[in-house]
Amino acid sequence: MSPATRPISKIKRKSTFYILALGSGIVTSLYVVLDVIANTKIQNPFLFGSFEMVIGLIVSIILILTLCIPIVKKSKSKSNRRFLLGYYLDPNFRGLKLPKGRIGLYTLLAGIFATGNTIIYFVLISRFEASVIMPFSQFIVVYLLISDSISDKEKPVTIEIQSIVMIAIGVIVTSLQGSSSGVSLDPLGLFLVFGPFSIFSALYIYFQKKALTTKDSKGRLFDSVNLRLWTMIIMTIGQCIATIPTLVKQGLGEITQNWKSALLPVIASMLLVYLAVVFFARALTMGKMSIVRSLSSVSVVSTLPLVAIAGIWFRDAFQGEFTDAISVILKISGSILVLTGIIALSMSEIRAIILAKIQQGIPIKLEELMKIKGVENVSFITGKHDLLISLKIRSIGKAYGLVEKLIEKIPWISDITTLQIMKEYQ
Amino acid sequence: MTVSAYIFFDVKLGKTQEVLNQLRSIPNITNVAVVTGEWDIVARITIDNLEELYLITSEQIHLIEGIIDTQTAIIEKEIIRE
Repeated sequence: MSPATRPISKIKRKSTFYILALGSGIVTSLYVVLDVIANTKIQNPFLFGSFEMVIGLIVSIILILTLCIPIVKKSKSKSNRRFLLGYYLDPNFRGLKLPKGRIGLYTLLAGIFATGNTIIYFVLISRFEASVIMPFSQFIVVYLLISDSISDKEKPVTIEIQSIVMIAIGVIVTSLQGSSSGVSLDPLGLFLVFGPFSIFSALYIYFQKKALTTKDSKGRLFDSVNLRLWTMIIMTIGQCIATIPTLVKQGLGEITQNWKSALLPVIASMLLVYLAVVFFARALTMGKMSIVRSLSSVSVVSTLPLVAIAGIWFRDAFQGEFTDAISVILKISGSILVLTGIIALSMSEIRAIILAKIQQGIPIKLEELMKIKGVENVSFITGKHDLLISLKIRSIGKAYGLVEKLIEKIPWISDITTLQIMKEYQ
Repeated sequence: MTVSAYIFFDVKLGKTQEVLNQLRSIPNITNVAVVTGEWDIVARITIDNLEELYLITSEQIHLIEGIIDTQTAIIEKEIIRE
């Protein structure tokens, strides 16, 4: 679809961005609450996981078929605009598509790691209360920071260390269970959060991004709606395989007896998961990753009030949440620690512009510049300088390292001028 | 096809915020940044053609009080990290 024939949104781009980023966080809280409600009906985490994934897959297929409905918008000045309903969720959506080649491989890997993450997610919701799941899910940031430091061969800066400590302590504090006899800890649950749950989540995000940013043979990008469907298929197969030992031991009894009462919350939850994923991916395409992450991390604290509201109608599901004052204080304190760590980290980025000239007679190897971490985009410009390089880094020290160690050593670049951005409006 | 350009501004002392506000009110300006170094403000503008760029710079930007000097750099090619 050419830009001229695309529908024009009436909502301002900035408002859409905030709605999508904040919406993804709140929707995430909502589906965790619904999952916990459904989990009280089918309590075995593997059986419940398989039931939810199968229902989720059916819901996803119906949803994607609905999104394939063609829309025609009448226009007075130009010919009628034709597009699919899914365009509103993702402008790259062009109907149901099987990912091929490298995109197919990245989708497969994203699906495999998402499966691992999902299996552990269902184990966690059966071990912990709803309000602590979202703080747990933020621990992934620690792995992303550590992998960045290793790949950059640089020590983490102060704000990174601060955030790692805040998030890690926040997760431990939220996981503590307070009672009149004292405070208890679930070591196995905590190991799952710190280990496989976060590692699988980090790898899932990595391959999901690779799948969405790799162009196909026609130079087109894959869309988040299709990506979600295909990862969902892989996750459903994986979850069902993981349930085989439980099925052999106890059979399908728990599902056959309780599936009717669990069905509605599961359908609603899976629809919301779909929305949260698409909202997040769309927000990423519209604004800075740091702002998207900060806004969507509202889920860390928004789950608590949602749990309190849901607890009015579903006492069984949330009875442990607010019975003990120590537990409530621990959850709130831990959640605030995690949220502060995420926001501090996201907002600590420094941006700079490098103006440079191109050295005459030396061939330009653009990949030398683009492979440098921190280089966001490069523009060839007219005028006094030939190049404008936009940088995004976490400290001035890192900017110095980037310019001094890497950019200045590129043979076809000369005469560098750095402008550090103090304030930016978009 | 749209054209994008960076405009660099040298601004009179004490007039930065005023100039910023005026620049932000121009719909074609998609990004404005206050910077340290050779220039005071860098703005990014997206227009339909060079004629429109001329009209916006000569009829709007150059009339903003507080701007001492400008330099416009048209983007010939842009590579964005995916």
